[in-house]
Amino acid sequence: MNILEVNNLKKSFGDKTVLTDVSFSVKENEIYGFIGGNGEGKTTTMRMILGLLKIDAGDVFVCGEPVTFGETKTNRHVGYLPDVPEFYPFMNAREYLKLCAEITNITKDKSAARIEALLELVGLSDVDTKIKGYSRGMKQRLGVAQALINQPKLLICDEPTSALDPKGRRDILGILKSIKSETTVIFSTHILSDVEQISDRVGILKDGHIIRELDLKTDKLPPSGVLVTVQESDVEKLNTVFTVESREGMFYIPDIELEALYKQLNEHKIYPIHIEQARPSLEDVYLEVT
Amino acid sequence: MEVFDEIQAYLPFLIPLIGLQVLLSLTALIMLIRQNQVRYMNKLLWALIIVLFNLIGPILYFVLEKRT
Amino acid sequence: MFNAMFKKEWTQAWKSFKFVALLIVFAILGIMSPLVALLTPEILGSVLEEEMRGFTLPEPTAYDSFAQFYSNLNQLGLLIFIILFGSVLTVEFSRGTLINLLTKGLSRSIVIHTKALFLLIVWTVAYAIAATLTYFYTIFYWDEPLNQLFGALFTSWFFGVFLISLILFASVLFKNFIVVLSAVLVILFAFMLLAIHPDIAEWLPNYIISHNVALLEGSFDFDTLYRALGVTLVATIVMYVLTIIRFKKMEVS
Repeated sequence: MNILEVNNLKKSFGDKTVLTDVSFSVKENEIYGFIGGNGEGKTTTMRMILGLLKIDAGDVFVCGEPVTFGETKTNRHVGYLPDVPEFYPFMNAREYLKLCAEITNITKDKSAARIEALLELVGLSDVDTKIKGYSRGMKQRLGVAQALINQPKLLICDEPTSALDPKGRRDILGILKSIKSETTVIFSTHILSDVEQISDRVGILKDGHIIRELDLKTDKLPPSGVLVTVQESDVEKLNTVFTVESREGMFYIPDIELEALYKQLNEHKIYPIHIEQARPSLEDVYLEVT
Repeated sequence: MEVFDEIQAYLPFLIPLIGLQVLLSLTALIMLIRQNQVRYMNKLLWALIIVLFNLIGPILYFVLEKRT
Repeated sequence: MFNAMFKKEWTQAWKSFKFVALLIVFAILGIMSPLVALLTPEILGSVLEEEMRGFTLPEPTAYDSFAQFYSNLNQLGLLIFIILFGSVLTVEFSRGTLINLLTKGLSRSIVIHTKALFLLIVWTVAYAIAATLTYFYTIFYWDEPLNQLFGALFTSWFFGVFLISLILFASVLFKNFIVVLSAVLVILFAFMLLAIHPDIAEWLPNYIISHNVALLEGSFDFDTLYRALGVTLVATIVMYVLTIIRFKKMEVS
C-alpha cells in the first residue's frame, strides 16, 4: 500500500511559482530520499503534505485519506521533523515530550515509557538542562524524538542533517535507519551521500516537478571519481596523465575506478598523499538526468 | 517633627509601594544576573535602567529580554 | 489537549515572571491611585503657594481617588497588560513553535481557546487586585457614597476583555506583534476620533469606560451604557469567532 501519495501538486507564492506539477508516492517501510537544491520547494511540498500550506491544485493522500489544508485528520498518522525544529526553551526534553504526548492523547501510563524509550533512542536520556541551552545537534535529536512520539506510520524529515557536523549527521542517519521497520520515512536533503547511505528510493525535485525517480537497489547514482592530493613535484605529472579539475583543495579525477587509478599512478611513479572516493554532487546528478 | 508626622501619615501607602517596587526591581535584577547573555545592550545598562526607571524599567526588561 | 496547552501557558508566564510582574504593577497602580488623590492638593498648594494665598483648595474626595484609578488602569494598566501579554499568540508564529504541535494533530481552535482563557484570567486577576486595593484605601480614607460600584468596575474590566479579543483577531490577521500593537492603537485612536460626534460616541466600545467616575458619583446612569455595552459584547464575540475561522485556514510556516 502507498503510505503517501502526492498527485499533480501545484503551489505558488504571489506570482512566484514554486511547484508546477509534483507527483510521487511512497510505499510502506521505505526510506524515500527527496533531493533538491535550496529553493526548489522541498519544504513547501512537505508542508502541504502536513496541511500547513494551502494546496493550490492537486491532491495528497496519507494512508489513503485525503489531506485538507488547515486542520487535517491525516496528521495523526504523521510525524514531522522541521528543518529547524523549534521548542519551548523553558522546558527540558522530558517536559517537552510530555506536552507532545498529551497533545497526541497518549494515555499517561503509556507515555512515560514511550518518552524514556525515545530519549534513549536519540541519546538524550541523561540530559536534564533546559532546551534553551541545547546545541543544534541536540535540538535535531529532540526533533526526531518529538516526531516519533505518536508512533507515526509516516515520518517526514526536512533536511534533517544539513546543519549538523559529521558526527551529528551520522547519529541522525543511524536513528532514521534504525526505525525503518516501524515507520516509513521521507526525508529531504541536498547532500547526496546521505541519500545513498540510507534510502531505498530517491526523487529529484527540480524546476517545480520530480525530474527523476531512482530505485537505489537497481539504479546507481552517477559514476563518481576520486579526489587525490599529491606532492608539489608530482602535480605536473598528474596533470599530463589524467584530466583533473581542482575541487575542495584537492584534485578531482572524474569517471575512474580505484583499481585503474592505482595502476596508472604506479606506472607513472606518482605517489599520492591522500586518496578518497568522491561523492557525486547534486550538480552531477542534474547533469546526468537532464 | 512636622515633616516626620506628615510622612508617617502616608506610611500605609509608602510601605507596600516601596515593598512592591523593591520586589519588582530585585526580581528583574536577579533574573538579569542569572541570564547568560542579553539580547539588547549589555547587562550593566539593563541594571541601570531597571534601578532608575522604577516601574517602566523592570517591565521593559521582562518584555524585551524574557520573550520566551 | 486543552489542559496540556493551558498548563504550558502558565508555566511560561510563571518562569518568565511576567505574570507576577503584572500583578505587582497593578497592585502599585491600585495603591498609587488614592495616594495621588490625597497628595494632589498638597502638591498643588506648595507649588502655587504665592498665587494661591487666600484661596483654599477643595479637599480630595473618594471620586478623585477613583478618577486616578481609572486614568491609571484604562491607559497605563491596559498598555502594560498588552505589552507584556499581547504577544502570546504572535510569538508562537514568529518562533515557529506551533508547527511541531499542529502536525501532531493539536486542534487549532484549542490553541485560540487556551490563549484566550489564559489572557482572560491574567487580566481579571490583575484588574481585581488593583480595584480591590483602590477600593479599600478609598473607603478607609473617605466617606462619600460609591454609587453603582459594581457597574463602574465592570465596564473597565469588560473593555479589557474586548481588547483581548481584538488582540487575538489582529494576531491571526497580521502574525507580527509590532503590527498587532500598532493596529490596536490605531483602532483605539479611531474610536477617540469617532467619539467626537456625540451620536456615534454612545455606540462605541470606549464609551463604556468614559463615564466611570460619573457612575460612582451617581450623576450618570449605568443603563445609558446599554448600546455601547451591546456593541462591545457583540464585537468581542464576533472577533473571537472570526479569529478561530481565520486561524483554521491560516498558512503556518
